[in-house]
Amino acid sequence: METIHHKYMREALNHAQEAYDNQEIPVGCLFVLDDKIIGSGRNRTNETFNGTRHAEFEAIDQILSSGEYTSEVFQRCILYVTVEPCVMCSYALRQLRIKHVYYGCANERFGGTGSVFDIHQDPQLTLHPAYPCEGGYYRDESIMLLRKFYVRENEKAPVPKRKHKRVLKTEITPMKK
Amino acid sequence: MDQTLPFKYVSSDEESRSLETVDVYVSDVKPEETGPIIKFIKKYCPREGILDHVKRIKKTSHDKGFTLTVLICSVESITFTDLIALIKNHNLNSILKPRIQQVCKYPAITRTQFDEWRKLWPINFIEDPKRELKFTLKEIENIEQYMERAIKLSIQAKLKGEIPIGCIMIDPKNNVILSESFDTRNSTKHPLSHAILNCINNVASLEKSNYLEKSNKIEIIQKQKKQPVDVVININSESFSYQQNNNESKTTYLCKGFDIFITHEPCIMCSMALVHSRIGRVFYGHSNKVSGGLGSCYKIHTHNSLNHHFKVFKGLLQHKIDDLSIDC
Ligand SMILES: [Zn+2]
Ligand SMILES: [Zn+2]
Repeated sequence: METIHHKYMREALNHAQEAYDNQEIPVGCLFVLDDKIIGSGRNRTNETFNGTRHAEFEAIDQILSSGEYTSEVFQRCILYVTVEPCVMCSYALRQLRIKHVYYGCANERFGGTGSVFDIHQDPQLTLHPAYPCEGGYYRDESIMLLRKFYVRENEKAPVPKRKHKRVLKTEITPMKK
Repeated sequence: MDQTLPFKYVSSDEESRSLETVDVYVSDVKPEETGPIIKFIKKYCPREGILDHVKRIKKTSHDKGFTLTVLICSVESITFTDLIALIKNHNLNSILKPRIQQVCKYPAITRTQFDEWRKLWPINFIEDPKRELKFTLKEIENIEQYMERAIKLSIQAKLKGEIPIGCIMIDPKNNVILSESFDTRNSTKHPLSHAILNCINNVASLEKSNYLEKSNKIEIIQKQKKQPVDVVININSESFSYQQNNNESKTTYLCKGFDIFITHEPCIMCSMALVHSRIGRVFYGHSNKVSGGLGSCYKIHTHNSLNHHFKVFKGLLQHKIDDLSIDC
């Protein structure tokens, strides 16, 4: 069933696609305030030479530099991001007191809201409130975009990592509960 | 590690782990009877991965000579009754009399663990040369000087009404300072303008402008090349290696091998930013009990599932930072 969350995640996927088209890891996101998109971003780590320029940071900086909002605005915002926030972004969102996070697919290597750590709800982090985080919105689309990116990266490499040409895997294992 | 250092190594959980044990079956054996027993064990009790670090035979010396004790298998792999039956089936019950013994559960990583844990039962130990934590006097002097600079930056921050956290990034290969920064959360009204993120952003824009400058230079030179004039072209080898590396992800190696000196333990966000930037080493003064990612709340620098690990040292010049201590 197509919910409002799917509608926004579809839009976040467009930003991820833009990252893909610009040779960046395809992750996109947007912040929604009272059913209105107030900022969006996509990964720019290659362009900026900066491994910390994740989609979330791009969108946060866009919102704060617009002059229209103060940082308190995030307490009333919902974040839609195509991939589970990494450990860095998970704690950034906690510091901003984000209201709610929805993501597409899990981030097995760096994920900070369930995969590697539970930064969003760790009770020992008392400075900022915990926030709810739910995955699985257009999960397959998010995964496929990432896979496409890594297959392309491997083909571009001067010495491909494997002997065989990497083929795009299309079957997706069901989400872990 | 007899050296007394003015800072403390922040070890991983594996390195600081104390003795945990696992139960195994062992039996005393006579030296002349070890042949058939070892053959039996090899066939019916194959080596278990969890016991890879444990030696098969223990030799205990005493005034009458020595006793050999052989490890059969873990208690987890077979019940005592089944093991007795198995031994009986092979007519070894007169020479193999199993009893339960404790051995250490995990491989020793540090020499201290090894010296302690081997008392229980002999174990293997290969010391990782990269774990060597020795510093020359000159290095320690430099380290303290860099931290002095970070403290100066934090005082500067305080005077400007900022949270007093200062940080400095250097390349230890040539002692070049790459960036000096402090926390600017207050003036920017941006809750994420922490000292480390500011520092990484500085280094990244520096790196990017260097890169653009160099690729511009190459472009100009290439244009000149097309013209048949006797222009002396001066290309340093560095520009070329830069261009050749074009296809590799530059960001991945942004801070590779660099050291960071920061007055306060980085928060979780900043600690992970250092992983993303592939930092070399981190030295900090004050521990951050409420959100510290390099020892206090998390040990992001040694976490098994994260793809980059680095060494962290704490407590450096802490007495000079205590006035500025703040948890945030
Ligand atoms: Zn992130
Ligand atoms: Zn921080």
